[in-house]
Amino acid sequence: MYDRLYIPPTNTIVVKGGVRGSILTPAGRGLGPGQPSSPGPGGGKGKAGKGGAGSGSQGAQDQGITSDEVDFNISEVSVLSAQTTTSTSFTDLATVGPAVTLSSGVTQNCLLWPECSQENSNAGVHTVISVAIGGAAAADGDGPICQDPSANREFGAFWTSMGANQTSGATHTMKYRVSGNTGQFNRRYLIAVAL
Amino acid sequence: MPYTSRDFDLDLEQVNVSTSETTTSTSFTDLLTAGPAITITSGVTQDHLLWLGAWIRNSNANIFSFMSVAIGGVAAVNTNGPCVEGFAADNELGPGWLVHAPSQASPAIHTAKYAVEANTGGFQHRRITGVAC
Repeated sequence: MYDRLYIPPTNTIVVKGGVRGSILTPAGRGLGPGQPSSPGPGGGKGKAGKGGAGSGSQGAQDQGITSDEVDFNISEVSVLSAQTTTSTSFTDLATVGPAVTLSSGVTQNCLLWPECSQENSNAGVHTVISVAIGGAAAADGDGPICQDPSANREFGAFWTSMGANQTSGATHTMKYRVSGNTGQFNRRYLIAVAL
Repeated sequence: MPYTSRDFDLDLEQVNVSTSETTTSTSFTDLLTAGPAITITSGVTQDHLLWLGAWIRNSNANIFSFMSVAIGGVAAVNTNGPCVEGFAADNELGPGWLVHAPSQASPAIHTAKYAVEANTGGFQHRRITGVAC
């Protein structure tokens, strides 16, 4: 993994623990201002700097990276139809997911935001959402819960989960369960970004 | 655009406390297991984004239970987190919340706190997630 980067309030990105404005090579080396950079795979994704295509001076990087130069490849998948389950263990609905696949090219942490409206056919019974992070079994705590005070009271919420050290190409899939009766889930969204 | 996700490793932190614990405090306080708390060390003063979430309930109907966060150690306030007012006793709901914490020193510690309007509030699957940006 590369050195850490951070985004200061000015929306520029610099290398944490390294030289301000340094850019990282795929091998994980931070390059200081004025040092020649090495080309990355396939032209280096422009990592040589704003004016380079895989080679050139890092001096220009003193200005940092601005938002217009970054595409974090935020992914969003939705299933908008209302579907139900009576399963008391996490499962798929008739339409599986939503599921997102993050393919940044390297192993990275990711943030996942599942959001959904949920209700149960009976009062006092739970409906629960979770995410199978990188294909691991879904668990309580990785999504919101709704315990209906009366039958079919709909509750909409979002949640934040983190997938640690997810391989490139990992797929994350929303799952659903109830503590009894029938749970209905509507307007399902899963938004994700590798960071 | 020349840069994509693979070029960055942001200081992303998440801490969870899964056990169910309670409070009767009407001012923001810790539960038996304090936190969760995250420490963000980006090296400079920066804005932080914090996501809160918990499964929240109250022992009485129509009474609020609150979750908040002590941002950088500053006292928590009830506008910085989710709340649940159950229609029935122990009506459990799990909302999420997003907080913008401007100009945080490095390192900054952000700790989840809890309060109730009255009676006993219960909190399970507590989590805080944060990133400097």
